[in-house]
Amino acid sequence: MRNKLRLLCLLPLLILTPGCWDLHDVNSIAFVLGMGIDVPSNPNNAKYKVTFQLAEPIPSHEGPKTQSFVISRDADSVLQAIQLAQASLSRRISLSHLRAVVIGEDIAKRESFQDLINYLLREPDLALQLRLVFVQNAQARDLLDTKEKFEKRPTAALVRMGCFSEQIAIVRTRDFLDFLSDLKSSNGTAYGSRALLPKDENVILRDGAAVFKDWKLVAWLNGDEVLASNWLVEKSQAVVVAKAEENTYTYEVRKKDTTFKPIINGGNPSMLVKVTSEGMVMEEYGEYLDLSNPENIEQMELLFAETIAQQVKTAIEKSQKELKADYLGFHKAFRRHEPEAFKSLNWNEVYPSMPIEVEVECKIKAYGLRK
Amino acid sequence: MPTESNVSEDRLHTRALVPLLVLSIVEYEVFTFSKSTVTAANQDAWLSILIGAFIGSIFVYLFIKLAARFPTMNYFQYLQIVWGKPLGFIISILYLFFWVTFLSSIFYETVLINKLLFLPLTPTIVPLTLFALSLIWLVFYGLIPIIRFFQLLLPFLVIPLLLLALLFIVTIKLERFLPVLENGILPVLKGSYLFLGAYQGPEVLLFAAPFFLKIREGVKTSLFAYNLTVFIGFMNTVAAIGILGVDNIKEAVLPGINVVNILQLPGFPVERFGLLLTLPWLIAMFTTLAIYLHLLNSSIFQLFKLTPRKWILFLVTAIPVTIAYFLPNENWHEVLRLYLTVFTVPMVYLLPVMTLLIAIIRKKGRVR
Repeated sequence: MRNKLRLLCLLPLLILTPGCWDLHDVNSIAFVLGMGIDVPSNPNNAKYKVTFQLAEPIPSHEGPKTQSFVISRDADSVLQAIQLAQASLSRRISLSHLRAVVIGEDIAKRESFQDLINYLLREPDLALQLRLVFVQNAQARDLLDTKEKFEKRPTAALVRMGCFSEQIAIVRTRDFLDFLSDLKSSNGTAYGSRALLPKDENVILRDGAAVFKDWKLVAWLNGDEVLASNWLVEKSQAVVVAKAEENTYTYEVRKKDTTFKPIINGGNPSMLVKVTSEGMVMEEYGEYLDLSNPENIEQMELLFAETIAQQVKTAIEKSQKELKADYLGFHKAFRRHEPEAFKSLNWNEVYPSMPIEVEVECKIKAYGLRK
Repeated sequence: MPTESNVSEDRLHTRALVPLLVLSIVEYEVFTFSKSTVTAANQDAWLSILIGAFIGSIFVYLFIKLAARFPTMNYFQYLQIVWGKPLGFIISILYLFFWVTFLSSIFYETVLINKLLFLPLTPTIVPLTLFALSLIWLVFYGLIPIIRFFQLLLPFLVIPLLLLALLFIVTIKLERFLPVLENGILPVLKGSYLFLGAYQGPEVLLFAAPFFLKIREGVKTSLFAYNLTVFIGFMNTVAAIGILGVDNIKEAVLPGINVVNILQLPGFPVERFGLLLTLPWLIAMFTTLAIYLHLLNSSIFQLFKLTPRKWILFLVTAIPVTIAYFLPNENWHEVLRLYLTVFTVPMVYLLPVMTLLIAIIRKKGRVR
C-alpha cells in the first residue's frame, strides 16, 4: 500500500517536471553553421562585425537551393553580437553545429587572434572541430554569403575542401585547434589557411596561406610560396615542374618525408633539412627522354631534386629574411631534439640568422602509362 | 531498514570486486583525467600514469593482504585493534572528514557539469535534490544491493570508454609527446603522485572485504579492476595530449569533453561522440557518490554506536549537498580538489599500508 502511494506521488512529478526550464525543441533553434569576424562598419561604435550564417530549414521535397542566410551585427564582443542577432530571430541561436570560422583580413591585422576567438573557447555548446580560414581582400561576410556551386552552404564547401587538401600542395589547411596550438607553442607565430573570392565568380578559392606573428596577421603567401613551404610542414602530395633548357618535366610527388637535424657548433645553432620524395614523372615537354633508361631516370631525379631544393630554400629565405617569423616549425624540431639547448636560446632573435642547409633526395618510381 | 552484519550469509564472489572498484574509482576524472598530472608532467604525463599505476597496484595488493588478515571486520573495526582505540578513533574521524570533503567536491562537480553541458537554466537545487534522493534510496538498502547495482551498470561505463579509446587512436598526433623527459624525471614523479591522488576509491576494498567470500583470493580481480581504471585514464590522457596538446589542456576546464567533441569520422553518420563520455560520467558520478555515502553513513553508525535510522541518512546526505550548494565558485572548488588530491595519497594509500605493517609487527589479525 505504501509503495502504491509513493508511486502515485512520483508519477505526476515525472510527467510535470521534465523539460521545465531547459526544453530544447529542434524546431525552435536557429543553428549557426558559420561565423565571420570583420572590422565593423563604424569602428567608433563597435569593435567587431560578427556575421552568422544560419541554417534555413526547408521542406525536404524542395529541390537543391541555398539553404542558409547571413546576418551581421556590430558589437564590442562576440557574445554581445549574438545577443543583438538573437533580438531579430524567432528561434534561439545555437552554436552546437558551428563548423567554420572565417576571419577578415583587416580585423586579423588589427586584433590579437586570442581576443577574436576567446568566446569560442569558452562556449560549452561548441565542438572545436572547426575549419578556420582567413579571407584576403574581402570581408568574412562576403565569403559566408557566397552562392556556392556544389554545396548548399559555403561552410559545407569549406569543410569539404579541407577533407581533400592533402592532395593539393598549394593549399595550407590548418584547423582551428591546430592553428591555436601552433600559436601557443611559438608565442604567436603560425601559418594558417587563406581564402580568396575572385571577382565575378561565385567560388571560394582556397590557395595560399596567412602568416601570423605576435598573434596578428602580418603577411600572405601565394600558391607558389605555399607549395615551397609545404615541403617542410605538410604531408600533402606535391607537383614539381622542373625546367632544363627548353624542356619542361612534371613530377607528381606521391610520398615525401622531411627530417630536421639541429646542429650545435660551439654554441651556434644551425639546422640540416633532409627532404626525400617518391613519385612519378607525369609530363614531358620539349625533349622526350626514354625513361626506361636508368641514366635518364637518374638525370631527371637530379633535376627534380635541384628544383625542390630551390623551392625549399626560397621558403626558408622568405621565413627568415623577409618575415623573420618561424612559421615553418623549426623551433619545434629544435626543441624536440635539443630541449636543453633550446631553453637557453632566444629563438626569435636566433632564427632569422640561423644557417639552414637543405639536402634533397628524389626517387622516380614510375612514369605513368608511357615511357 | 534492512540489517547488515559483517558475517552475512549473502556474500559476494570476488569477481564482484571488479564493478565495485571500477565504479568507485572512476568519477570526475572521466572529464578531467587527472588534469593535475598533465599540469605537472606536461607531455610526459603518460609516463607518470604508468609509474603511478605500478605503485598503485602494489598498494592494492597490500590492501588485499590487510583485508585477508581481518576477513570478518571492516577497516574501522580493526583500525582500533591495530593502532589502539584512541588513535584508531582519531584516524576514523579523519576519514569521515575526508569523505565529507570528497562527497562535497563530487556533488559540486555534478552540479557544475550539469549546468555547463545539460541544464543551464534549471535551478541548481533541482538536479542536486534528485540526485540526493536517488542516492538515499539506493544507499538505504546496504552495500550488497549497491554492488549488485554496480554490476548492472558496469558495461554502460566501460564499453563507451573503450570505444572512445579506439576512436582516439586514429586522431592522436605523436609529435605532441616529444621531447620525452624534457624537464627531467622530477616532474614525472610529481605527476605520479598527483595521479595517485586523483584516484580515490581503492580503500573501498577495505570496507567491503567482509562481504566477499575468500577475500584473500581477490588479488587478481582487484588488480585487474584497478588497472582497468588506470587504462581508461591512460587512454584519455594520451588522447588529450595527442589531440588537444598540453597548452590547451592546461587552460581547459573539462579537457575530456573538448577532446571528444573534436573527434570526427568523415563519412560516418554520427558527427558527435559526446554521449560516449557523458553517459559514463553520469554513471561514474552516481556510483561513486553512492558508495562513499554508504561508507560515511555506515561508519557514523558504527563509530558513534548509533541505531541505524533512515532520518540520519537524510541528515548525513544533506551535509555534503549543502557544502556543494554553498561553495562560492569554481575557484574554491579547484583549491578543494587540489587539497583532496594531495591528501588522498596518505589517507587512501599510506595509512592502510602502515596499518598492515603495524598489524604484522604487533601480530594482529589472522595469518594463513
